[in-house]
Amino acid sequence: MDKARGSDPMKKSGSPRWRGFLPLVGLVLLVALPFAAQAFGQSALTSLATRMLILAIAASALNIALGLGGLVSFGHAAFYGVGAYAVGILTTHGASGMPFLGFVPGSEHLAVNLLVAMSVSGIVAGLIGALALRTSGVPFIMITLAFAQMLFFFFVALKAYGGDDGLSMRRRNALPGLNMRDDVTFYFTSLTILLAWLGVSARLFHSRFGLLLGGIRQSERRMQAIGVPTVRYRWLAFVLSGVGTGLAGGLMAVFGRFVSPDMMHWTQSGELLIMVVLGGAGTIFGPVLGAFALIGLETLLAGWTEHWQIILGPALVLMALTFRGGLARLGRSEQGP
Amino acid sequence: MSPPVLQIEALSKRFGGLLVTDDVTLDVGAAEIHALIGPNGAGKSTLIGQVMGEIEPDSGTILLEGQDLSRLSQASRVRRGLARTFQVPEVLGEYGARDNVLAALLAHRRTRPLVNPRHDRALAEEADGFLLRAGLAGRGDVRVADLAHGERKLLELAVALATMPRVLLLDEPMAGLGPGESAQMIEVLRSLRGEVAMLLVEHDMNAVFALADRISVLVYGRVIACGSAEDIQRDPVVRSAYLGTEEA
Repeated sequence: MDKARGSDPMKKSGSPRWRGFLPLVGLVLLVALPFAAQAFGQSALTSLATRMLILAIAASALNIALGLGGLVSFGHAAFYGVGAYAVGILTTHGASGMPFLGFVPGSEHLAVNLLVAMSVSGIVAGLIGALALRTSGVPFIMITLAFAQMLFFFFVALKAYGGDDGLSMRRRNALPGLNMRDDVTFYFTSLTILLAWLGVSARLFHSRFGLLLGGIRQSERRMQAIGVPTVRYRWLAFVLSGVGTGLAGGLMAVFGRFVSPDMMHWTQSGELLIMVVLGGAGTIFGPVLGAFALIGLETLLAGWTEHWQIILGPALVLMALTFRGGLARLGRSEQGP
Repeated sequence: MSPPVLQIEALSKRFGGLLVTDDVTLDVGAAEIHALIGPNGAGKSTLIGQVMGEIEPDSGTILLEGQDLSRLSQASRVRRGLARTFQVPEVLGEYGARDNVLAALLAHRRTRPLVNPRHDRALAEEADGFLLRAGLAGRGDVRVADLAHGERKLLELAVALATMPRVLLLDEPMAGLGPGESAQMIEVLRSLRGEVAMLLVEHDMNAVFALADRISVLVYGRVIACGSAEDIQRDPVVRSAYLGTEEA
């Protein structure tokens, strides 16, 4: 029976045709969500969904390192937090008019600040990656965790920018022509950025780089033997992943008008990992599903009992056992027994 | 004889107290199949590792077409024409057979940045060409995890060929193959004769005698003999050190 589908163009191995429409259905639901929330008088739902969208960007960015590159980074909260602080610090200086370090002008422009957040996170990821990628496996997990903890304590000690109290911003960053104070506008801005990021991500997955990076995940030795400088490829994947995570951090800072070292806490790194694995590592939409599922579950349980974590833990274990390969691989015939 | 394309000169490597490569000098002619035989633990795989640049030798030089490779990374050695296969196949299990070859084709090639190389018809045909040469015609879409062991060995060969090597370093291509598969592997390798030089590390003496132009015998990291098949079979040192004990 395996032979029968051997060399035929059955490569996409029996995924039912309707699966192709799922992203479209998801998009329609996401576009309708804020209007439905308003109609039912549940406008808090829009804020919750915005958080989900932003964390979906972070999870999707982590997925480049984790799902495609096989790099189990336990320190991605560092890039999330660095992106957030880049925006927070720029915004503070933009509001006060005093240049940062005496010569870098502040800014309250959303696009400018997000670009800076991405660049700074990319540089930090480049430095951490250059050191951490000398190892692999468990040492890599521990080293990325260690760097994230170092940054966490650095920002706890950084009293000029709030220390462990965090840093509040007076108003959200602006985009010309849009009223960012409006939660629905911000929701659609976040959705647009998520879609753009997913587009970039999908291109990456299906590019030459993605094909070779996926090969490195499967057998680094094989890829070295065909002449791929594997360390450079993994480093680039790590940096791109850091850039996207920083983008999400920066956007979250703008959304909440608040940054704190908690954004770099190791539990945040853990949550991002859970989102990716729960949703489906190595898939385009999996991390998005994972972000929505995890934040949704957390919110639901937290509204029900204050000991929600006691339920969340076993629920995650159960989901991991049920949806092997992640939510995004449900209904694919190649998966599961 | 044609001038050697690969020259290994006075190569030595020590792992702690163990001398795994002991002053090895060896060359492979441009169209030659040079077999390297020797008992387990003689240092054959380590030698391949050093030629590829995976393992750094303590001393000695390796020349490819007269060019010193010593300071080059594995990636640049591959670009200059070295390729290898592994004793236990190192293949990309989640990919199809064609994508395994595609990876090798793409490793040293620029593509248009926004184009999915899996949708490039010309590339796919090129990859299928290498599958065909390795005897895997029509198996391009099969996930490698679903391929038989013998097919994976052949796939490694297709992948190595796709890097356009001058010299192929084959680490026991017959290992684990059944009689029919061995015959197929020998046939495929024979069809490559003259096109690419080969350093053939092998235990299967039928394959060695069927393919090799010259045979070198490696024992405890040392080349104790080098010559034609008859020379080696007649050599008393070899008989006592290797063939004698094994065939007794």
